[in-house]
Amino acid sequence: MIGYISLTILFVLLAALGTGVWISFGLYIVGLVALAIFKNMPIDLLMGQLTWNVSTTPELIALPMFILMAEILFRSKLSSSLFSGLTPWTTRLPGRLLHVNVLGCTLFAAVSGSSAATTATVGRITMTELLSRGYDKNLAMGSLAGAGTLGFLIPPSIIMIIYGVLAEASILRLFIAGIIPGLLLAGAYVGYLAISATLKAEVVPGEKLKFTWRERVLALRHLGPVLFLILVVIGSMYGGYASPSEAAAVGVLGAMLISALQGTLTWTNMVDAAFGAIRTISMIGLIIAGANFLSRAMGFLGVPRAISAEIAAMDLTPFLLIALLLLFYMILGMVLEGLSAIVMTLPITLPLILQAGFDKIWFGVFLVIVVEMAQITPPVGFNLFVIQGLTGEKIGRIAWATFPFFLIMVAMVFLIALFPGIVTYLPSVVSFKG
Amino acid sequence: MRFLTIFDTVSRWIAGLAALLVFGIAALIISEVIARSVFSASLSFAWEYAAYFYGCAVFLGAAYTMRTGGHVRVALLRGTLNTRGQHIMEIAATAVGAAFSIYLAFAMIQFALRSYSRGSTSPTIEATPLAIPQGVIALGATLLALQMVVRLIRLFAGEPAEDDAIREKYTVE
Repeated sequence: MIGYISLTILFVLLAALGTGVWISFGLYIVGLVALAIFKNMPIDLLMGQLTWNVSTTPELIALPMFILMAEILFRSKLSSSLFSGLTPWTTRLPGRLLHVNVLGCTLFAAVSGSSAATTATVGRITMTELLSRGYDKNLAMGSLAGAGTLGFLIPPSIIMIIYGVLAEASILRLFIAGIIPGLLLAGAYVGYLAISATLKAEVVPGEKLKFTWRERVLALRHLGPVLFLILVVIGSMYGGYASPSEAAAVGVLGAMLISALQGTLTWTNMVDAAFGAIRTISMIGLIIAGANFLSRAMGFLGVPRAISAEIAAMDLTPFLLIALLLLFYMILGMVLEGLSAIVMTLPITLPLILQAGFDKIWFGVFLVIVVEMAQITPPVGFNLFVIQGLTGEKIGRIAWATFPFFLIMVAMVFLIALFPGIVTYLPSVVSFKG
Repeated sequence: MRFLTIFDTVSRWIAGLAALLVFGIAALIISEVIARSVFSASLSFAWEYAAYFYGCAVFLGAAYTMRTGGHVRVALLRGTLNTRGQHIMEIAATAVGAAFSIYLAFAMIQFALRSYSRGSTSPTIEATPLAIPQGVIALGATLLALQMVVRLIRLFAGEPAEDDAIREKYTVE
C-alpha cells in the first residue's frame, strides 16, 4: 500500500513540476491528489486550516522583515561603501582586490538573509570595478557566486527560518550554528584566491594601489553602516535582547536610517523596495504553505515512517547515509531551486536523519550548505542568474568559473560530517533567550 | 483584450496594500520592542496582529506576483519542445494552476465563512474575530484564482502572459 502511495506522490510531483506548474501549487496538488485517492477526509477543510495555521506562524514574521531589509539595502549605497572600506585592506594579500567579493559578502551576509540578495548587492559594484581594473574574469565571477551563497549560511538566514519552522527547531540555535562553518567557508575561499593568484600571476593586473596605514584606518569609516547594522541585528539577538523577528524589524529601521543618511531614502526607492519585497514574500509564503500541506498529507498517509523504516533496514553507516543524501541533493539542486528542494524532501529526510542519530541543528546547517550548492549549479541556480544579469556572460561560463568554489563547498560538507562539532559546538556554549 | 488590464490594476493596488502590511509588521514589532524595553509594558496585540499581517500580505501579493512572473517554477521539458509545443505546455500548466487556485480560493472562503458562522475568536486577550484576517486571505486567494483565469484567456488570445517590464526591474529574489 505504502509503495503505491509513494509512487503516486512521486509521479504527480514529477508530472506537475516537469510541465512547469508553479512549485507552490505543485506541492499542494501532490498532497491533494494523494489524500483524495488514499484517504477519506474533508480535504478542503484541512487545506483551509493548515494554510491558515502556517501562514500566521509568529516565527515566520522574521521572513518578511529580512526580505524588506535586503530590498532597502540593495537600493542604498551600501555596496559602494563596502568596496571603499575593504579595498585598502586587500593590497597586501596575494590576489589583492579579488578578495573584496569574499570579504564584502561575508560582511553583508551578516545583515542579509538571502544569497541572491547578497550576490546582487555586493556584486553591483565589485564586478564593474574588478573587471575594469583587469582582474581575471573567471575568479571575479566565481568568487562572487561562491561567496554570495554565504548569505544563507552566515546568520540571519531565510532558509534557516523556514527550516526552523518546518522542522520545529530553534531558529536562534540554527543562526548560531551557522557562524563557524560560514567563516570557515569564507576562509577557504580567501585561501583559494590567494593560492590561485600566487600560482598564476596574470590573474592580477600590474596596477598597484598604495595606501598608508592612516588611509586604511580612515577607510574603516565606510564600513560603519554595515558594522552598525550587524551590531543592531546580530548583537541584539545574541545579546539576548531580541528574538530573530524583533531583531529583523529593528534591522528594517536600521536599513532605512542608513538609506536616509546616504540620501537614497526616496519615495521611488521605497515603493520599488516594497513591491520587490512583496513579490519575494508572496512567492516564499505560498511555497511554505504548499510544503506544509504536503508534509502533513504525507504524515497522514504514513509515508515518512515507512520510508525511514525501509532505509533503516538497509543498515547504512551514518557517513554513507550523509554521502548518499549529499549526492541526492546535488542532483536535485541542479534542476530545482534550493529552497524548493529542501521543503519538498524534508518530510522524508528529517525523520531519516534523526533516526540515524544526527542532530536537528546539524542537519539544518548541512541543508543550508546543500542549498548554497544548488544556488550555483546549472541549469537552475539563482546566483548564476544574478551574475548573468551583472556581466551578460553565458550561464555555462559562469558555472565553470564557479566550479572550484562548488568543490570547496563539497569539501565543507564532508568536513562537518566528519567533525560535527564545527556546527554543534557554538550553540552548545552560547546561552540566549528562546 | 484591453479590459483584462483591469485585473492587473486591481492586483497592483492590492499588492500595494500588502506592502503596507509588511511595513506595518515592522511598525508593530518595533513598537513592542520599545514598549518592553523603555516602558516595561508589553503590547499584547503586536505579535498577534503582525502574524495576521504576514499571512494576509502573502495572499494579497500573490496575484501581482503571478502577473509579474515572481512565483518560481521549473520547466524541465520546456527546452526540448518547439515554440508550439511550449505554448501548449504553458496552457496546460496554467489550466492546472487555475483549477487548483480556484480550489484553494474555495477552501479559504469556506474556512473564513465557517469561522464567521461559529463566531470563532483568537484565544488571546484581543479575542480577534478570526473571520476578519481569514476573510482577507480568502480575498487574496480569490484574486490569485482570477489572475490565473485571466492568464489562461491571455494565452488563448496569444497575448503575453506576464508583465516583463516589472520582472526586469527586480533582480533580487
